[in-house]
Amino acid sequence: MSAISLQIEDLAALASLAKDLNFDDDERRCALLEDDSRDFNAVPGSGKTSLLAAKLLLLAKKWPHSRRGICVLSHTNVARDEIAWRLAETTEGAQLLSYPHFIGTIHSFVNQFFALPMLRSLGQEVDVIDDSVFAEKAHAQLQLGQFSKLHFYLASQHNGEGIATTLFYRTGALTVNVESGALPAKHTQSYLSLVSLKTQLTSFGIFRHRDMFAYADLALQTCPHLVDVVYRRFPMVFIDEMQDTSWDQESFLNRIFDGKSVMQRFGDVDQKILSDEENVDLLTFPRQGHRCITTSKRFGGTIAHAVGSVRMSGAAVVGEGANIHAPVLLLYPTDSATKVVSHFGRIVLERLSEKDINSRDVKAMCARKTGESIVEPGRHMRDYWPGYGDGLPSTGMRSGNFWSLIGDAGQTLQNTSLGTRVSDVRRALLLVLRDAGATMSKDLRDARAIPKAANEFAPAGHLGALTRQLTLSGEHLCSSDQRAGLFQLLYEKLKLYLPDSLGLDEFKALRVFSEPEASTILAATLSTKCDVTHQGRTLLFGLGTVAGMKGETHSASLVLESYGGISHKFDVALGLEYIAGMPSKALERLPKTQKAQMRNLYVAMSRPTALLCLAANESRVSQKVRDALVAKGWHIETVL
Amino acid sequence: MYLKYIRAKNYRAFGDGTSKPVLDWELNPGLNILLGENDAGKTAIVDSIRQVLLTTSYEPVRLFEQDFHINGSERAQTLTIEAKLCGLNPDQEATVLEWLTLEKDDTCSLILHLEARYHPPQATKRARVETVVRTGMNGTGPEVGYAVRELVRATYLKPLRDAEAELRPGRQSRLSQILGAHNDISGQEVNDFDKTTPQNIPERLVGLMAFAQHHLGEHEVVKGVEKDINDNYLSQFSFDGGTLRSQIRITPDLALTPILEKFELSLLPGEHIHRDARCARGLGYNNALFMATELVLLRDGEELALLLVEEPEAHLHPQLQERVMDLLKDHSDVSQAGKRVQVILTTHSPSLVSTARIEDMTLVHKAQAFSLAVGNTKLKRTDYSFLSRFIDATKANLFFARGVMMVEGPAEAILLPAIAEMCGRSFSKQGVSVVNVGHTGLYHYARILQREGGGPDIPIPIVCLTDRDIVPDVARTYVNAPAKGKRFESDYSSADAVALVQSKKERAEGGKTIVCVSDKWTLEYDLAYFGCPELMYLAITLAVKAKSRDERLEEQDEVDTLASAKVSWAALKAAGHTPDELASIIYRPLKVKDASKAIAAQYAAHLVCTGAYGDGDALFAKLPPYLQTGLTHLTIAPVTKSATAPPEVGGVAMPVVTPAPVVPGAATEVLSPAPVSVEAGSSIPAQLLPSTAQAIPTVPSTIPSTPKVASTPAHAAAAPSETVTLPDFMAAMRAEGAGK
Repeated sequence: MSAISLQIEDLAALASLAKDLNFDDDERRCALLEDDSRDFNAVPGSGKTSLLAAKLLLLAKKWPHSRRGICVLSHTNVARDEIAWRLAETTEGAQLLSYPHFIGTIHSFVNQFFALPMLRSLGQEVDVIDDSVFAEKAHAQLQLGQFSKLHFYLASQHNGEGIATTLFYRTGALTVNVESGALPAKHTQSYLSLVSLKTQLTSFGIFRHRDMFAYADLALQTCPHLVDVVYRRFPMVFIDEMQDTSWDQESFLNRIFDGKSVMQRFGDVDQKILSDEENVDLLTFPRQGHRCITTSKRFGGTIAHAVGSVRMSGAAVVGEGANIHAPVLLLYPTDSATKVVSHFGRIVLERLSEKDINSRDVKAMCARKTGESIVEPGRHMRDYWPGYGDGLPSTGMRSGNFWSLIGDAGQTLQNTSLGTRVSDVRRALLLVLRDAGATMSKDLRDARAIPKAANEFAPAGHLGALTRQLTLSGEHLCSSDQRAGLFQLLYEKLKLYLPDSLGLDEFKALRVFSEPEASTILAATLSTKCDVTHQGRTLLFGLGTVAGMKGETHSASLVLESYGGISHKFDVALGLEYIAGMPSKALERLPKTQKAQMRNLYVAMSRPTALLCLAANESRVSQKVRDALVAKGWHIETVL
Repeated sequence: MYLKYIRAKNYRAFGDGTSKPVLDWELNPGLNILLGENDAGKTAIVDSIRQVLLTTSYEPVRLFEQDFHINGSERAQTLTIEAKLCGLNPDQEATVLEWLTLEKDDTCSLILHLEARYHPPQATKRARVETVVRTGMNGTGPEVGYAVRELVRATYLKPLRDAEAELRPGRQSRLSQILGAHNDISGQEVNDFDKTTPQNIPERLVGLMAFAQHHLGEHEVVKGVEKDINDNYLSQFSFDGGTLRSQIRITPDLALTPILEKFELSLLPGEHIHRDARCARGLGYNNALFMATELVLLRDGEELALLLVEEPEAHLHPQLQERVMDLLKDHSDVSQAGKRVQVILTTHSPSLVSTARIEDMTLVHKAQAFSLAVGNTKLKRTDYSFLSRFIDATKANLFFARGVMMVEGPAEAILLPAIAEMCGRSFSKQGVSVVNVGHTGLYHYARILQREGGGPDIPIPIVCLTDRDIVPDVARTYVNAPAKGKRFESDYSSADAVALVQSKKERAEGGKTIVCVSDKWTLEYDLAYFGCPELMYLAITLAVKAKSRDERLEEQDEVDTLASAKVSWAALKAAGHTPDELASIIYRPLKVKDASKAIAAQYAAHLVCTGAYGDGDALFAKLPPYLQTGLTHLTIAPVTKSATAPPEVGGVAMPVVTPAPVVPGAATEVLSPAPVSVEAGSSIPAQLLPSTAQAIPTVPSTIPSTPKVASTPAHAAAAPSETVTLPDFMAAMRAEGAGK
């Protein structure tokens, strides 16, 4: 085995590597020194990522191999970037960012090492791997004559839309499945049409993320001996946010690593949010013999207690942070639901210092975005913030829309590498060239191939310079007063590649430049932000779903009550029973749907460092519960 | 791990598959021998491998304008080279996991695809070549990374290498690499020298160096000089507060690598010289040593073990070549398992080739590579080992020739080059080799150059010359009838005779190989029958005389015999025999063993070279039709074409000429069968007669070498063409140009 182990004396290096972090307690020291495969279940705010980063730094210092590496897998690019940022701060750590090591999402790992090589072997080109683009293209294909019968069939189905847009391959046999709804029987014409729809999109190179696991599976079927190879390259594997791993993913990772590499998995089983997926019961995290990290550095005892009371596994959460502010319960009468968010804003301004607010975000979150239930508000975010999500581009629209690709750099400009930003810009340019019918864009599947194709087409062209300019100042150029100039610039720089007959005015009128208007982009930003002025100070804070804020740390968080639909329960109201210590049913005896709601609540409540605020309809919180909460140090306010 | 194939498009002489073929060469995991004439593209293949894999010696490998294929005046703008490496072990696969190509058969390969683009000079930019190396078939995978680069470097030994310099000490010396890569080197970097007990001899290399350094530093001469420099000179340059001091040392830092780089590998001097004396050994031995060194490094490495050797025969005598070949064979043999080294070598050495296995060879001809591995040729698997034993240094010529004539006896081997020369179709000038397979009937081995499984034919014309062996009825007087079966012309129906010829042809024909079956009986008989009765009569008469004297004919005897033969020929000619009676009479001594065929051929070769029996197209027209067909297939007609000369150029098969054309004058003349007594006054100077006659019969199965003939300028070209001298080569080039 080529894994290496850390010794007590190695920990001394932490003093210089991670100055502001304290790993003196036994739980964390054990985690750092563990050199065998093991799972770690860690409470929110326990500093899992910091701990993992510190461990990686220590390993990097001692890593002796030049052709074997450490594999660090996470779920989101955000989590990946966070680890990468920390490692990049030291020279030893920075070595982990490149060959022979791998740090990335499970998806990118599977793509890079298995799925994409398999697709290359099959001679299958890849245009885009994106669920929303897939949905969009599937939708577009359905409008074609050849699918008219299928279109008709789907229109008559309960979830026809979902069936067509979530087609995915399962296992190496590449059997077609759907994520949402159910497939018609295999002998039917509709089934065959759906399969041919999927096949057609595959031939265009348009895939869903899940397809990649099928191709990875096919890769292992085609080359079974790879199972004996991968662990040699990665004798040590660390997986972050293990609880979010689906069975598809876990079983794949187990096949290549389990029992061969040292595999350490970090996560918090209670933060598992996805609930309606398959094979949940097969998931192994955390395994027998796992260790726990029970202390949170994020928040103080009161929040810890509240968080701990809705924790499915029941284990206590110890808060080691400071108890700065008492948790607040906001009660609102039904017709005041829309005032809750700004009321929260005023509370924050009253209690938190400028420093608190600036060091971390203030956020308001709700488990659901929208919904149709006929119960008293607040059922979902739109009950509190009616314009929520208006004009918000979906990710799918994003990768298909020029203005959002160029005009919204997001965080990409702050990353260590401009890679993401550049690929957005290239994709936007490809869309323009395609729409304009440029010969160069024919057969061009992947925007990454643009520079080469452009160079071949017209070596004297300025595509490179244009890419650079749009990458760095695209956001500015997209603003409405700059638009005319932007068109001029695009047209001039791209003219060489465009059909000769295309004039500037026709160019401007291309479909790719149509929606959305600049004003809706502005509206979109406003629809997810709340602006509050109080006592001469202003606060602008974001709203969003709990799922979207997973992993974040806030200074103050507002958790808005939501209705669980088929669970027939409101999450905050239900959770308050446990926080108050007077539950009508033990947590583990709740039905599955309600358990899922409690997990969500657990995630939501464990975000803030200083101020936790829950909001519930006053009609749903009994006096007994209110009294008990006050007794536990809670503060209750009513929104009027 | 080994190189599975190398493909190139638009690289040097290799085209894009339209006007010129691409390079697509599949390799053996072990030994691969590239052979072929100069300028065939052997080095281009080796260079294409270096371009895409780079080398362990880190010399710069770049592409230049002239590396882009040129067709007419049109230079290609892009070129591609693709190399596929197979058989990676699990650790190697793990190392380059993200660059692997998954194969359908549960293996993974590593494909490197180089694409280069040439940008001609423009107003503000110099000409440049842009090169990208990606992985995957057609470069569809990610760009190669450092890890791939370091894993796949090839070890390249250039031709005419300076082996001694390569083994000298210095930075990155080969020896230091070998020592540094040795399994037992770890731990040697520890300095176990203790200054407090300087008399203790340390065990580790670095410790030993520290020990040596310490004691040398204590030596009074060294110490004295050091003190002198410091005190009397350096101190003069010193400023206050910073004294300048120096120290005499063997090595500036006590690390392992600088120590290893001080080592030198050299051969011990010969036995009579003291082993410590500095004494240079021959280039050849140093070369062999150098190759051995490289093999050690390759065998024990974790990286691609691929050795590219250009002309390993350089500086080596034939017997040492054989030893080197054996060494390369051993190391590249499948029995080496994990330590197997893949070897690619180019060679012009028949000695080297003759000791190699046929299946390891790849023939390179006019920028096309033809692997001779099992399955690529029409040979059966079992033929290979037989053939390997059969090919000796002389026969190995066939792999370097532009055309091959396979014959079944020394007579053909001796006489045909002379006849061809006089017809203006010189074998040596046209690069044609004669291979004598003797009486082994092995000419079906010509199938070695016939392709199996599609693909283009090897454009090397081959003619297999064989006798029809149907005895004319006129020869019944001296040929016994067999107990059973057929022998004489009248035993065969004409359909039977055609079938016999056809079955002989089918043994070897295919691709660019044709079988020419004598139209009547044997070469000598047919020559006598068709157009050269006098020539054959004189030559055979001389041979009879030589036989009677136990092959020891004095010069004067030859002159006398020839003169009397001419007289008897006149009588024979006037005797009114039919052509077959005449030919039968002329041929008789050879059949009844009154003369050696080889000796007769020697005399015939000599006589024909005098020019007295015709030359150019006139001589050509006298030849038996099957010889005409054979020569036409192999050679280019002389530049001044007469009406009778065949219009086809060499390498293009002529329709087989129907037997028995009218030979001018042969049929009507009546000649006396009895040899006439010797007369004086021969027109042939006796001293020009070959005196090598007695040597010939002792080596019947090889091509006779005729050095003594070659020593006479007038006859140089008559020698079978083993060695192409530069003027000959230039002439051949001109002839080829004229032929086009």
